[in-house]
Amino acid sequence: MKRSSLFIILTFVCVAVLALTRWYVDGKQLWTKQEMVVEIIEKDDIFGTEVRKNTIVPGFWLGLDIAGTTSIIAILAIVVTLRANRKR
Amino acid sequence: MKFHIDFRRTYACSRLLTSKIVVALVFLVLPTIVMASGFGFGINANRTVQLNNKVGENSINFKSEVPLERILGKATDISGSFTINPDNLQTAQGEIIVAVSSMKTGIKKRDDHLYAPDWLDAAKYPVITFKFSSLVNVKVSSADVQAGRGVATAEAFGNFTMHGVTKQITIPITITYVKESTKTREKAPGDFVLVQANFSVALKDFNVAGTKGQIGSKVGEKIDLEANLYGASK
Repeated sequence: MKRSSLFIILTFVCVAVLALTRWYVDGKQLWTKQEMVVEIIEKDDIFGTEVRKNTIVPGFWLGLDIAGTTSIIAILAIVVTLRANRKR
Repeated sequence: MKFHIDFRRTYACSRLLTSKIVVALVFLVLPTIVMASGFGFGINANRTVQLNNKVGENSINFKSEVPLERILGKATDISGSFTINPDNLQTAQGEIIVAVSSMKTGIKKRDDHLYAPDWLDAAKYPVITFKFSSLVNVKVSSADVQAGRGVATAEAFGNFTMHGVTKQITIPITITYVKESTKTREKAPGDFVLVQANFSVALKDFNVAGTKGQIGSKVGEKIDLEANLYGASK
């Protein structure tokens, strides 16, 4: 197996392990973040002014707790893969 | 040729001129100052305004920002009332009450953290209140007497209570007053008032320690708040 492929597989395994751990520890919270808050601006005709409102809308949200870790692992994997390819 | 100056007459003239200037100031400048703190609708009476979701959705947006993490949320269970004289805004006073349990960020687990003892401790301190006793620096931005609509900026001075701690703060606000009309009656009876406010609160000022190491890294030391409060007079 190529070294680069090994790193990619390793990355996915790490992410999967982290996700499963978090899912177990936090009680299935990780994949049930089905809402997100967005800013909208509404025009109010009676008051003749604009009103900014935070509105909760349906949306998928990757667990913030693992987002940092996941990105670091992904970046490291990309860097290592690129370096391995360059050496070859 | 000799000049004769009648000092008594000059003194009398100057006194007359001074008194005229004083009268002019009283009749011209004073009403302007008085009018500047109100819309000049000719109401000049206190109106009790009750927050009313039929007029508009009462909400308080909150925002925490740190590098790599931005949290947006809103509180929707807002109640309260205030008295306001549209022709003398400085005398306005009242209380706004926000239920901590109505604060949502879109992530249930994060909301649960927010209500937990480390943060706002909703069980022990279920509400956040702002009780204001007066408005200062009132400036009327626009007053359309015919349309019955006026806009003014001011600073609400009062006691802000959060997490069991009360601090005196001044909140910059914008008041939009709309007199009752056939259009407003479609939503609710009475004159309509919209109060918009933008301000920040520092968590440490209210003894909110948070989970160790999270304030400053995951949650901002200051929380930006933006209130849109709609009410109708009784």
